[in-house]
Amino acid sequence: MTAKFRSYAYKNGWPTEITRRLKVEHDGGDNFFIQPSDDIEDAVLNLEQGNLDNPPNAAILRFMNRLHPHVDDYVNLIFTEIMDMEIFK
Amino acid sequence: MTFLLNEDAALKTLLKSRVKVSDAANNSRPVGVWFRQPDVEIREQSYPYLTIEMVDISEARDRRHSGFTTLPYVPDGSFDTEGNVLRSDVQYLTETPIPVDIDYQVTAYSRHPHHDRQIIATILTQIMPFRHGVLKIPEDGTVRRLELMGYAKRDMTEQGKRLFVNVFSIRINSEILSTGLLALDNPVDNIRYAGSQATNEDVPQDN
Repeated sequence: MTAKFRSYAYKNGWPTEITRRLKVEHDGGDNFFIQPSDDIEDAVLNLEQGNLDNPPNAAILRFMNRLHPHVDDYVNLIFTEIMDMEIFK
Repeated sequence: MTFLLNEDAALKTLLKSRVKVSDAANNSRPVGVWFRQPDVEIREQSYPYLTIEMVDISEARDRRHSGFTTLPYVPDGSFDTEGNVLRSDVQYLTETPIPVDIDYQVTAYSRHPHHDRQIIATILTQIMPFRHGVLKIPEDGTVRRLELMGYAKRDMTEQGKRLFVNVFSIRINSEILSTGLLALDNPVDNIRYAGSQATNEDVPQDN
Protein backbone atom coordinates (compact mmCIF):
# COMPACT_ATOMS: atom_id res chain seq x y z
CA MET A 1 0.00 0.00 0.00
CA THR A 2 2.94 2.32 0.63
CA ALA A 3 4.05 1.85 -2.98
CA LYS A 4 0.54 2.66 -4.20
CA PHE A 5 0.41 5.79 -2.08
CA ARG A 6 3.80 6.98 -3.31
CA SER A 7 2.73 6.43 -6.87
CA TYR A 8 -0.58 8.24 -6.25
CA ALA A 9 1.13 11.21 -4.58
CA TYR A 10 3.70 11.43 -7.36
CA LYS A 11 0.92 11.47 -9.97
CA ASN A 12 -0.69 14.28 -7.98
CA GLY A 13 2.45 16.36 -8.30
CA TRP A 14 4.22 15.67 -5.03
CA PRO A 15 8.02 15.63 -5.34
CA THR A 16 9.71 12.24 -5.14
CA GLU A 17 12.16 13.36 -2.44
CA ILE A 18 9.12 13.70 -0.16
CA THR A 19 6.98 10.76 -1.34
CA ARG A 20 9.81 8.22 -1.07
CA ARG A 21 10.10 9.02 2.63
CA LEU A 22 6.40 8.51 3.40
CA LYS A 23 4.96 5.22 4.52
CA VAL A 24 1.37 4.01 4.99
CA GLU A 25 1.09 2.53 8.47
CA HIS A 26 -1.58 0.43 10.14
CA ASP A 27 -2.59 0.91 13.75
CA GLY A 28 -3.54 -2.73 14.28
CA GLY A 29 -7.24 -1.89 14.17
CA ASP A 30 -9.31 -0.35 11.41
CA ASN A 31 -7.14 2.66 10.69
CA PHE A 32 -4.41 3.46 8.24
CA PHE A 33 -2.35 6.60 8.62
CA ILE A 34 0.67 8.40 7.23
CA GLN A 35 2.92 10.06 9.78
CA PRO A 36 5.80 12.03 8.25
CA SER A 37 9.05 12.30 10.19
CA ASP A 38 9.77 15.63 11.92
CA ASP A 39 12.24 16.88 9.33
CA ILE A 40 9.75 16.69 6.45
CA GLU A 41 6.53 17.41 8.38
CA ASP A 42 6.42 21.08 7.36
CA ALA A 43 7.02 20.23 3.71
CA VAL A 44 4.28 17.58 3.78
CA LEU A 45 1.81 19.95 5.44
CA ASN A 46 2.63 22.66 2.91
CA LEU A 47 1.81 20.24 0.12
CA GLU A 48 -1.28 18.74 1.78
CA GLN A 49 -2.79 21.91 3.25
CA GLY A 50 -1.12 24.57 1.12
CA ASN A 51 0.27 27.88 2.34
CA LEU A 52 0.05 31.55 1.39
CA ASP A 53 1.65 30.92 -1.99
CA ASN A 54 0.28 27.51 -2.95
CA PRO A 55 -3.21 25.99 -2.76
CA PRO A 56 -3.65 22.65 -0.97
CA ASN A 57 -2.91 19.48 -2.93
CA ALA A 58 -4.42 16.97 -0.51
CA ALA A 59 -2.98 13.72 -1.86
CA ILE A 60 -3.06 11.99 1.55
CA LEU A 61 -6.74 12.81 2.11
CA ARG A 62 -7.71 11.79 -1.42
CA PHE A 63 -5.77 8.53 -1.15
CA MET A 64 -7.42 7.70 2.18
CA ASN A 65 -10.86 8.45 0.68
CA ARG A 66 -10.15 5.84 -1.99
CA LEU A 67 -8.75 2.96 0.03
CA HIS A 68 -11.37 0.49 -1.14
CA PRO A 69 -9.49 -0.60 -4.30
CA HIS A 70 -6.69 -1.69 -1.99
CA VAL A 71 -8.93 -3.98 0.01
CA ASP A 72 -6.84 -7.01 -1.03
CA ASP A 73 -3.83 -5.46 0.65
CA TYR A 74 -5.91 -4.86 3.75
CA VAL A 75 -7.23 -8.42 3.88
CA ASN A 76 -3.74 -9.83 3.39
CA LEU A 77 -2.46 -7.61 6.16
CA ILE A 78 -5.17 -8.67 8.59
CA PHE A 79 -4.64 -12.32 7.64
CA THR A 80 -0.90 -12.02 8.29
CA GLU A 81 -1.53 -10.39 11.65
CA ILE A 82 -3.97 -13.12 12.67
CA MET A 83 -1.56 -15.84 11.64
CA ASP A 84 1.17 -14.13 13.68
CA MET A 85 -0.93 -14.40 16.82
CA GLU A 86 0.43 -16.64 19.55
CA ILE A 87 -2.51 -19.02 19.34
CA PHE A 88 -1.54 -20.12 15.81
CA LYS A 89 2.10 -20.76 16.62
CA MET B 1 -27.72 26.55 -8.80
CA THR B 2 -26.88 22.92 -8.61
CA PHE B 3 -24.79 20.27 -6.96
CA LEU B 4 -21.54 21.66 -5.53
CA LEU B 5 -22.42 25.27 -6.29
CA ASN B 6 -25.15 25.13 -3.65
CA GLU B 7 -22.79 23.63 -1.08
CA ASP B 8 -20.11 26.22 -1.90
CA ALA B 9 -22.55 29.09 -1.51
CA ALA B 10 -24.11 27.74 1.68
CA LEU B 11 -20.74 27.21 3.35
CA LYS B 12 -19.53 30.69 2.41
CA THR B 13 -22.78 32.27 3.62
CA LEU B 14 -22.60 30.37 6.90
CA LEU B 15 -19.02 31.47 7.58
CA LYS B 16 -19.66 35.07 6.57
CA SER B 17 -22.74 35.37 8.74
CA ARG B 18 -21.29 33.78 11.89
CA VAL B 19 -17.58 34.57 12.11
CA LYS B 20 -16.98 38.02 13.58
CA VAL B 21 -14.10 39.53 15.54
CA SER B 22 -13.91 42.44 17.94
CA ASP B 23 -11.08 44.65 19.18
CA ALA B 24 -10.46 48.09 20.65
CA ALA B 25 -11.19 49.78 17.32
CA ASN B 26 -14.34 47.92 16.48
CA ASN B 27 -16.98 46.18 18.56
CA SER B 28 -17.86 43.60 15.98
CA ARG B 29 -16.85 43.25 12.38
CA PRO B 30 -17.39 40.39 9.97
CA VAL B 31 -14.46 38.35 8.74
CA GLY B 32 -13.93 38.17 4.97
CA VAL B 33 -14.35 34.82 3.23
CA TRP B 34 -12.74 33.94 -0.11
CA PHE B 35 -12.55 30.89 -2.29
CA ARG B 36 -8.78 30.38 -2.46
CA GLN B 37 -6.27 33.07 -1.52
CA PRO B 38 -7.13 36.66 -2.41
CA ASP B 39 -4.55 38.83 -4.16
CA VAL B 40 -1.69 40.05 -1.98
CA GLU B 41 -2.96 43.66 -2.06
CA ILE B 42 -6.40 42.64 -0.82
CA ARG B 43 -4.93 40.24 1.72
CA GLU B 44 -2.81 42.92 3.40
CA GLN B 45 -5.88 45.07 4.05
CA SER B 46 -8.17 42.25 5.05
CA TYR B 47 -6.74 40.41 8.05
CA PRO B 48 -8.33 38.44 9.57
CA TYR B 49 -9.89 36.43 6.78
CA LEU B 50 -10.95 32.89 5.87
CA THR B 51 -10.33 30.88 2.73
CA ILE B 52 -12.38 27.96 1.43
CA GLU B 53 -10.77 25.30 -0.73
CA MET B 54 -12.60 22.30 -2.13
CA VAL B 55 -10.05 19.49 -1.85
CA ASP B 56 -11.93 16.33 -2.79
CA ILE B 57 -15.20 14.72 -3.87
CA SER B 58 -15.54 11.01 -3.20
CA GLU B 59 -18.29 8.43 -3.22
CA ALA B 60 -19.57 7.78 0.31
CA ARG B 61 -19.60 3.99 0.08
CA ASP B 62 -20.71 3.68 3.71
CA ARG B 63 -24.06 5.31 2.81
CA ARG B 64 -24.61 3.50 -0.48
CA HIS B 65 -28.01 1.92 -1.27
CA SER B 66 -29.55 0.26 -4.31
CA GLY B 67 -33.08 0.30 -5.64
CA PHE B 68 -35.70 2.88 -6.52
CA THR B 69 -37.18 5.55 -4.33
CA THR B 70 -39.26 8.69 -4.37
CA LEU B 71 -37.22 11.68 -3.33
CA PRO B 72 -38.34 13.57 -0.22
CA TYR B 73 -37.05 16.82 -1.72
CA VAL B 74 -36.86 18.49 -5.11
CA PRO B 75 -33.25 18.54 -6.36
CA ASP B 76 -32.25 21.99 -7.48
CA GLY B 77 -31.20 22.41 -11.09
CA SER B 78 -32.62 19.05 -12.28
CA PHE B 79 -35.32 18.16 -14.82
CA ASP B 80 -37.65 15.20 -15.06
CA THR B 81 -37.40 12.60 -17.83
CA GLU B 82 -39.70 14.73 -20.03
CA GLY B 83 -37.39 17.71 -19.67
CA ASN B 84 -39.80 19.63 -17.43
CA VAL B 85 -38.72 21.81 -14.54
CA LEU B 86 -39.28 20.00 -11.24
CA ARG B 87 -42.28 20.99 -9.11
CA SER B 88 -42.64 20.71 -5.38
CA ASP B 89 -46.20 19.30 -5.64
CA VAL B 90 -45.17 16.28 -7.74
CA GLN B 91 -43.58 13.05 -6.55
CA TYR B 92 -40.58 11.82 -8.53
CA LEU B 93 -39.39 8.25 -8.85
CA THR B 94 -35.68 7.65 -9.33
CA GLU B 95 -32.93 5.20 -8.62
CA THR B 96 -31.46 5.76 -5.17
CA PRO B 97 -29.05 8.70 -5.53
CA ILE B 98 -25.32 8.14 -5.18
CA PRO B 99 -24.13 9.55 -1.83
CA VAL B 100 -20.97 11.60 -2.03
CA ASP B 101 -18.75 13.44 0.43
CA ILE B 102 -17.41 16.85 -0.44
CA ASP B 103 -14.23 17.69 1.47
CA TYR B 104 -13.34 21.29 2.08
CA GLN B 105 -10.48 23.00 3.80
CA VAL B 106 -11.32 26.20 5.65
CA THR B 107 -8.23 28.16 6.65
CA ALA B 108 -8.28 31.14 9.01
CA TYR B 109 -5.54 33.81 8.83
CA SER B 110 -5.13 36.57 11.39
CA ARG B 111 -2.44 38.91 12.66
CA HIS B 112 -3.66 39.30 16.23
CA PRO B 113 -3.78 36.43 18.73
CA HIS B 114 -7.11 37.72 20.06
CA HIS B 115 -8.71 37.49 16.62
CA ASP B 116 -7.15 34.07 16.21
CA ARG B 117 -8.79 32.78 19.37
CA GLN B 118 -12.14 34.39 18.55
CA ILE B 119 -12.23 32.71 15.16
CA ILE B 120 -11.30 29.29 16.56
CA ALA B 121 -13.95 29.59 19.29
CA THR B 122 -16.68 30.69 16.89
CA ILE B 123 -15.97 27.99 14.34
CA LEU B 124 -15.70 25.19 16.89
CA THR B 125 -18.70 26.17 18.99
CA GLN B 126 -21.15 27.75 16.55
CA ILE B 127 -20.44 26.36 13.10
CA MET B 128 -18.77 22.99 13.16
CA PRO B 129 -18.55 21.38 16.54
CA PHE B 130 -16.83 18.02 16.41
CA ARG B 131 -20.26 16.40 16.23
CA HIS B 132 -23.73 17.40 15.00
CA GLY B 133 -22.69 20.22 12.67
CA VAL B 134 -25.30 21.05 10.03
CA LEU B 135 -25.42 23.07 6.83
CA LYS B 136 -28.75 24.27 5.45
CA ILE B 137 -29.09 24.37 1.67
CA PRO B 138 -31.94 26.80 0.97
CA GLU B 139 -32.19 25.95 -2.74
CA ASP B 140 -33.60 22.47 -2.12
CA GLY B 141 -34.62 22.77 1.53
CA THR B 142 -32.23 20.06 2.73
CA VAL B 143 -30.07 20.01 5.85
CA ARG B 144 -26.68 18.35 5.38
CA ARG B 145 -24.19 16.95 7.83
CA LEU B 146 -21.19 19.21 8.32
CA GLU B 147 -18.45 17.15 9.91
CA LEU B 148 -15.21 18.48 11.28
CA MET B 149 -12.67 15.89 10.15
CA GLY B 150 -9.60 17.55 11.59
CA TYR B 151 -8.08 20.72 12.94
CA ALA B 152 -4.46 21.89 12.76
CA LYS B 153 -2.64 24.95 14.09
CA ARG B 154 -0.10 26.19 11.58
CA ASP B 155 1.18 29.56 12.76
CA MET B 156 3.93 31.07 10.62
CA THR B 157 5.91 34.24 10.02
CA GLU B 158 5.20 36.30 6.93
CA GLN B 159 7.45 39.26 6.03
CA GLY B 160 8.74 39.36 9.60
CA LYS B 161 5.26 39.49 11.13
CA ARG B 162 3.41 36.80 13.02
CA LEU B 163 0.61 35.14 11.13
CA PHE B 164 -1.82 32.94 13.04
CA VAL B 165 -3.14 30.17 10.84
CA ASN B 166 -5.77 27.54 11.61
CA VAL B 167 -6.73 24.75 9.24
CA PHE B 168 -10.16 23.11 9.53
CA SER B 169 -10.79 20.02 7.40
CA ILE B 170 -14.51 19.56 6.95
CA ARG B 171 -16.84 17.24 5.11
CA ILE B 172 -20.30 17.96 3.72
CA ASN B 173 -22.65 15.15 2.75
CA SER B 174 -24.37 15.36 -0.60
CA GLU B 175 -25.75 13.10 -3.30
CA ILE B 176 -25.83 12.84 -7.09
CA LEU B 177 -28.76 11.52 -9.10
CA SER B 178 -27.75 8.42 -11.04
CA THR B 179 -30.84 8.24 -13.29
CA GLY B 180 -33.57 10.57 -14.48
CA LEU B 181 -36.53 11.62 -12.37
CA LEU B 182 -39.82 10.10 -13.46
CA ALA B 183 -42.79 12.25 -12.48
CA LEU B 184 -45.55 10.21 -10.84
CA ASP B 185 -48.88 11.60 -12.01
CA ASN B 186 -50.70 9.57 -9.39
CA PRO B 187 -48.89 9.37 -6.08
CA VAL B 188 -48.96 5.86 -4.66
CA ASP B 189 -51.55 6.59 -1.98
CA ASN B 190 -54.09 7.67 -4.64
CA ILE B 191 -54.05 4.58 -6.84
CA ARG B 192 -57.47 2.90 -7.12
CA TYR B 193 -57.86 -0.74 -7.99
CA ALA B 194 -60.59 -2.15 -10.29
CA GLY B 195 -63.34 -4.05 -8.51
CA SER B 196 -63.03 -7.83 -8.25
CA GLN B 197 -66.24 -8.45 -10.25
CA ALA B 198 -64.99 -6.52 -13.29
CA THR B 199 -61.68 -8.35 -13.17
CA ASN B 200 -63.36 -11.75 -13.02
CA GLU B 201 -65.44 -11.05 -16.11
CA ASP B 202 -62.27 -10.75 -18.12
CA VAL B 203 -60.98 -14.16 -17.03
CA PRO B 204 -61.82 -16.88 -19.60
CA GLN B 205 -63.94 -19.68 -18.12
CA ASP B 206 -62.77 -23.29 -18.41
CA ASN B 207 -66.24 -24.83 -19.08
